[in-house]
Amino acid sequence: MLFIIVLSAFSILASAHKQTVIDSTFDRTPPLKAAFLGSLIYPGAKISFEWPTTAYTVTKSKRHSVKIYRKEKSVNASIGMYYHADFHTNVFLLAERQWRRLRPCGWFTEFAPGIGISRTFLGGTTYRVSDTGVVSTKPLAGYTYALFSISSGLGYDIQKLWSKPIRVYSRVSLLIMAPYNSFIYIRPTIELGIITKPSLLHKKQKIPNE
Amino acid sequence: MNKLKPVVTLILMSLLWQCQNEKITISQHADDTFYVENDGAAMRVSVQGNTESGKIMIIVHGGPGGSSFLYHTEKMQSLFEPYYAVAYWDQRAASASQGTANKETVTLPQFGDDLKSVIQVLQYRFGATTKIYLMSHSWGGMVATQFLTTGTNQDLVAGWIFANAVHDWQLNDQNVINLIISRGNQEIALGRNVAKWQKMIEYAQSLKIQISVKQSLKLNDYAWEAMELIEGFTPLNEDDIIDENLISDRIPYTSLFFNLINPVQSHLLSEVNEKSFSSLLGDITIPLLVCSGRHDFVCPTATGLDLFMRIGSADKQSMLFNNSGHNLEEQSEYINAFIEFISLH
Repeated sequence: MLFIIVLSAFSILASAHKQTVIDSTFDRTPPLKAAFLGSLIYPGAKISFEWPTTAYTVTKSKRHSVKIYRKEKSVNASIGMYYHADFHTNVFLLAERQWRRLRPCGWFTEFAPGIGISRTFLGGTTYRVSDTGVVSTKPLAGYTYALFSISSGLGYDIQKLWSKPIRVYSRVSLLIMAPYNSFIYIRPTIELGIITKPSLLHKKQKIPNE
Repeated sequence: MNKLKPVVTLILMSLLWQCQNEKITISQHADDTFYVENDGAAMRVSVQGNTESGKIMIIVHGGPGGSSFLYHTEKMQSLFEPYYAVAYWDQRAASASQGTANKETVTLPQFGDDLKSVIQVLQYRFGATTKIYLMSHSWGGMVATQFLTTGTNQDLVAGWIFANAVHDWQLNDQNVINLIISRGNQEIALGRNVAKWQKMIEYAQSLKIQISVKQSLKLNDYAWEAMELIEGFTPLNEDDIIDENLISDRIPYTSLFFNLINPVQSHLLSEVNEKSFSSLLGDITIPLLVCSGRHDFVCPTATGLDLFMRIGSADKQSMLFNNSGHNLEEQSEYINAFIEFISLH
């Protein structure tokens, strides 16, 4: 049985054909990403710019079907924050390398690891006591952490339905901060947002299909 | 860039609002959260309940690496807080506390110093005449004893509740061994969970006088397992408290988790494993209430009794809770005992 399965797999692989066409004319206008960012019930926001670096179309032909999809790579820069009452407000800057895979039907998936810096502001008045017992408040108390992130998302290109350069997406991320009490702190977040090219939104000319 | 201005303004306004949000509530229903920063740690303190009473009970939680959120139960809110206020203090490198605490600053003397800072801040916020009481549970007993045996610190406190706690690590381990052997033999004689008790008894009997950290941790695991085996008794599950209050208390769950498994906690255990305050207890003269659970294998009644016998206080009381284990299971009875103790002092 195993022999038949292995043989079939080889046969399918042998009959499949993959062709990659690099798209050197793709639109390099940096899209803007704006998102509601939440962590459980704690609200936040995130704004990102994407700088596309590569785009190419992949055609995979198998015995009975042809599969076409587009791949985009970009470098993203983001500023974000979330507010967790009584705990902290976290403002962060993040640089990400992003891989996106778009299907002809408009759905896309993306994956992005990132690195950055995070500054937290403690969720309440912060007091200090001197050696002589004098109590004072510390303004803007909080901590700076190195930030690492890993994200995965799913989205849809609305341009398939409506001739505007808008994509909607959702993303799950893990924000990893260190050194947090000499260890790490991991914060899961969810993003719901749009990706658009504001300069193209009001232009009347036809937007090239991706 | 102009399009970004409203967003940046919104973020800055939100931060400023956060920073200037100093709330000091003198009322019967206070709900204030603030932080005390000391030697690299920003420790969360949440004051709940009746601050008008002029009396605040500080929770010195268990662990190390535990959380004060575990004590903010429905019973504590409905029975205790209408009378007095509770300061739910998260110790350094624990629960919602943040910062740069490291193995040099996660030491028992530092915990004692942190507690002193918390008391000073409470009296700064709620008035210098505010009476402070300590409710130390489990590991919190080590922290409170460290604090009370240092300098004149006990003058800052009006009373001490020692609830299912520890003040001498090695002595406590010996008490756990004795309890596992004696109670285990009783259970075996009754034909209950024979194989499990035999395994625990064999391990307890194999331990020498000086117990290592590794052996102490295994003994602790067995102590928790032993409580599960007592017929007619159900230990309080701490996870249930977290689940119930996750949203309402705005619990930063991942902070609790990563602080609990933080390697600095094991470094601390190496220090406290050798620590005994037994010889210093005679210097403590403040009113004391010792509470013990009959089924508590983690901090057995014998540990509380040792503290009770050695302490220098003339005003002291000991209470045994017959259907409790380590986690103050008879909540209403414990809380009524706390209220009575505080009302008398």
